[in-house]
Amino acid sequence: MYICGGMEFKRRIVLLVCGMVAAVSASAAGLSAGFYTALVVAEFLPEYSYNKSWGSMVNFDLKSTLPLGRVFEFETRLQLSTANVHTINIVARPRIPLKTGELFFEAEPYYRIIARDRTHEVAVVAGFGYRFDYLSIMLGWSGRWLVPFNGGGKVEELANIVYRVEVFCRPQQCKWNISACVSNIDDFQIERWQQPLVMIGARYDLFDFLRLSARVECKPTGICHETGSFYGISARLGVGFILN
Amino acid sequence: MLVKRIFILFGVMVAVMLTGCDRNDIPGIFNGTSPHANERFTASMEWNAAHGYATLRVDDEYKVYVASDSHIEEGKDANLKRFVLAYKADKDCPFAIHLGDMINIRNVHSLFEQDLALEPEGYVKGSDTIFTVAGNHDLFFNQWGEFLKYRHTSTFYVETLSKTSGKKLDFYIFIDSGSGTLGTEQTEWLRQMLAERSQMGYRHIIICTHTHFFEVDMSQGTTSCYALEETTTLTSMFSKYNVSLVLTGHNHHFKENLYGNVRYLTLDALKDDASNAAYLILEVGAGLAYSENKLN
Repeated sequence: MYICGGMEFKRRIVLLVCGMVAAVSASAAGLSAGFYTALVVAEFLPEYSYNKSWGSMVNFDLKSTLPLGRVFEFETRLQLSTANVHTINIVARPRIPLKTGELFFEAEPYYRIIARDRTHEVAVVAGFGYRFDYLSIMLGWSGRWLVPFNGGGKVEELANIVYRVEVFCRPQQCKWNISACVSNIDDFQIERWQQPLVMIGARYDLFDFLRLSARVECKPTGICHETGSFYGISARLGVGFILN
Repeated sequence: MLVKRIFILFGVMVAVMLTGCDRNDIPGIFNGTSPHANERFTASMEWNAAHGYATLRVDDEYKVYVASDSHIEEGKDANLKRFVLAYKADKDCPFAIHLGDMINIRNVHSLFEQDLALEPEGYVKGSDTIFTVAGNHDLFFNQWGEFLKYRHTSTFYVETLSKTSGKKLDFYIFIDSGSGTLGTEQTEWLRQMLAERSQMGYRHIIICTHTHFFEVDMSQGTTSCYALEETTTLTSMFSKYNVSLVLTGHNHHFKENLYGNVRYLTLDALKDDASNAAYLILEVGAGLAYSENKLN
């Protein structure tokens, strides 16, 4: 059966576009639970993680989203880890709503104390992106300073690209959604651009005030060496409270 | 029709990707075609157990010629030959080091061996030892077996003793980072080796491996280093155990970083068509000094 050609295919495209426009309109009315909203959300996200250098660890992630209308939002994130690596970062995200989707900019100061390796990691990210119901893309720059506790020279990595491509299976105003993402950053790490992270995420708004989420992230290594292999994995579950 | 064409085009692209070419091991992007780090480490240790580790008696001050990324293929090995003739002609150089990516295409590990057999005019046998580690290109197309056939091991150590007093001089550790990670077992071996040897009174502990540790610029495009966790784990280990020098390649462009009181040198590529082609001459004595010999 040839279902994707001719008029049938065009009809599906028209329906898809109409659906996206409807979703944005609905979100503007405050119905959405996805990223078009102005919801204040506080999330607790316990996480199990493993990588070949640090072994197994449990992370306790706290994340809050504080929007200022539909044109600005703050995210604050804190991670405490049994691996003795702790992270704090803040994302300031101006947003420009469009007829379909929105443009956004991100500025992120980031600090991680890698106490197990006696290292401070300080970084900044600046990027911009576009997102609508089924897709979110972001591109930007990051700079990093690695500073050992005892000094003896630091390293600056000031020429790094950051990127994030995330596809969603349902419109943002739906009560649940599943996404797949490739990026070199996540909530608590900023990798070199040659080091992608692959993520599968899900969200379910159980009640108006309660959000459940889950994410599995895989970190391969050696991809740009053309000698790829498994390096690390993490899985987290989240419970979020919608406070407005 | 359009969708059908897209499917056909996609199918052709996938077929090309899966077959790759002689230079790029495309399937290796997703899963390296040679054995992974732990298996390679096991194979190296088996060789070491059967054949032992090298101990060299050298002058108290000596030179080591170091090269990386020669990427040779038929007709593109002139710089490697120059390097081989240079270190063999230098009577102050008891051994040389190649930091990996010796070859560029399939089936030229034997050509690399032929080039290593070159001898300068009037050569007196002595300075003909070269120690090598595997780079990612040496592992492409499941060529780890070829590497083992000719180079035998990619994780080992070399100790130098004073020719006159018999005193311990320097300790070189060679580690296999050809797939952008050391793997769990090699990392543990390295930790134990450093913990033990850092107490034994060597002048210098020198790490030799292929993959560089920091991405300070974009000089080599997609060339990647370790995951960040591995970078901090290894660099903190080097600082803790007072490593003097870390020699790496892979990035093809010379860089020097001082980090946690450890000096990191990333070498220029040796390959023929690199405008910055060079090798390094390391002068080892009470201190460490180096100079680059530019070839192009």
